[in-house]
Amino acid sequence: MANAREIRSRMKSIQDIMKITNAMYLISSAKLKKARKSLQATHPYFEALQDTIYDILVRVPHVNSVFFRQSGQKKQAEKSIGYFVITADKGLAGAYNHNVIKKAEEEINKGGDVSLFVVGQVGRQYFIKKGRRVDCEFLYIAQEPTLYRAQSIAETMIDLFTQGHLDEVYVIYTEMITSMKAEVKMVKLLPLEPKKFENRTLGYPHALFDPTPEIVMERLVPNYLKGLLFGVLVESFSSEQNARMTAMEAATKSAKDMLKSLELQYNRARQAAITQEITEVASGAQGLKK
Amino acid sequence: MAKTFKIEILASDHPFYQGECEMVIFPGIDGEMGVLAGHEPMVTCLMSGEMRFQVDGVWHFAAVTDGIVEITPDHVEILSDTIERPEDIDQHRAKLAKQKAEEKLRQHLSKQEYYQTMAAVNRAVNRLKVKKRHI
Repeated sequence: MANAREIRSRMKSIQDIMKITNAMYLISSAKLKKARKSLQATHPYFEALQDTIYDILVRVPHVNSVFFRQSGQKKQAEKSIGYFVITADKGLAGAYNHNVIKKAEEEINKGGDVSLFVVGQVGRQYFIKKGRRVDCEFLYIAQEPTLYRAQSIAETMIDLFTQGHLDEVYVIYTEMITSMKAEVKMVKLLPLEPKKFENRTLGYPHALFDPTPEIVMERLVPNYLKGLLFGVLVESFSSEQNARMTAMEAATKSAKDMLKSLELQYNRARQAAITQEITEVASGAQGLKK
Repeated sequence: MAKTFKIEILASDHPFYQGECEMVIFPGIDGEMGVLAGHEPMVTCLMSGEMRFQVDGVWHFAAVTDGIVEITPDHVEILSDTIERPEDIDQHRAKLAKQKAEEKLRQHLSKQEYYQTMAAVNRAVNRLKVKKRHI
C-alpha cells in the first residue's frame, strides 16, 4: 500500500484538475446558453432560406448561371473538390473534433484533387500535420460566429468556384439535434442542382423572376450561401459548447469518484501508520520494563 | 377591409414579423416594388433601403439590407441579413460606422475591399435615413 503522503499529493493534483474541469464546465454552459439563444433566433431564417432556395430550384427555368455549372463529365479523380470543415479552436470537447475529422478523412479518401478550408485550430493543426493541402490564408475562428465572417467565407468560396479552381464545394459541420445528440453532416454548397419537376408538391410550377432569372440568381446565390454558412457556423458552435459541457461534467464527476476512493485509501494508510506506531511504542516500553 | 395575405419577414438573427398583411412595399433591383394579395408567383431580390408593410391600415417601417423575396398569391416571404425598426436603430452607432467606412474609402483598397466598404457606407446611410424619417 502506498504511504499516506503519496496518496495526499495525488489527491491534491486531482483536486487541482477538478477545479479546472469544473470551471470549464461552467464557462461552456454559459456560452452554450448564449449560443443556443442565437441558434434559436437564427433557426427560422435558416430553415426558411433552405425551403425558399429549394422552392426556387424547383421552379427555376433553364438558367445560364455559373452557379449551376456541373462537373459531371469529369471523373472523380480529376475533380478539384473543396471541403469546408468546421472544428473547434480548442480540444477537451469529447468526441466533437474527432467526429468531424473522421468524416472529413472519409470524404477525402474518396479521391479527387482535394483542398481543405478549415475553421478552428484543432482541425487545421491535424490536417497540416497529416500533410493535407490546407488553405493557409483561410483563417477564421470558430468562436462566436458573425454574419460578417460568414459573408467573407462565402465570398472566398464563390470566388474560387467561379474562377474554376474548385469544381465542387462541400461543407462538413456538426448539427445539434437535441442537447444530448449531435451529428456530423455534409452539405453540398456548390454547384447548385436544379431539382426535377416531378419531385415537387407545391402548386406553382412557374415563377416569374424579376428582372431576369440570371440577375436574380447572381444576387440570390451569394446571399443564400452567406445565410447557409452563418447557420452552419452557429450550429457547430452550439454543438461544440454542448460537447465540451458534457465532457467536462463527466470529467468532474470521475474526479469526484477518484477522490472518494483515494480518501478511503488515505484513511486506511493513516490508520495503519498510527497502529504501527502504537505497537512500536508499546513494545519499546515493554522492553524497557524487563 | 382590404384582402390580406400571409407575410413572413425573417432577419438572419431574429424573426421580425409573421402574420397577415394588406400590402408590402420593398426596395427591389429596379426601384420600389409593391405587393398586394393575389400577386403572381415571383422571386426577386431585396436591396438595402426602407421596407414598409400595412397591417390593419397601419403602416410599419423597417430598414433592411440585401436579401431574397419569394412571392406566391397568398404568401410572401422576405429574408434579409438585418431588419431594424426605426426606433431600434442606434443613430450614434450608425454615424460612427459611416465615418469609419468613409475614412477607409480614402485609403488604397483592393476592389473587393472597396465594394465591401461602399456597402457598409450604404447600410449606415440607409439606417440614418430611415431613422430621421420616422422620428
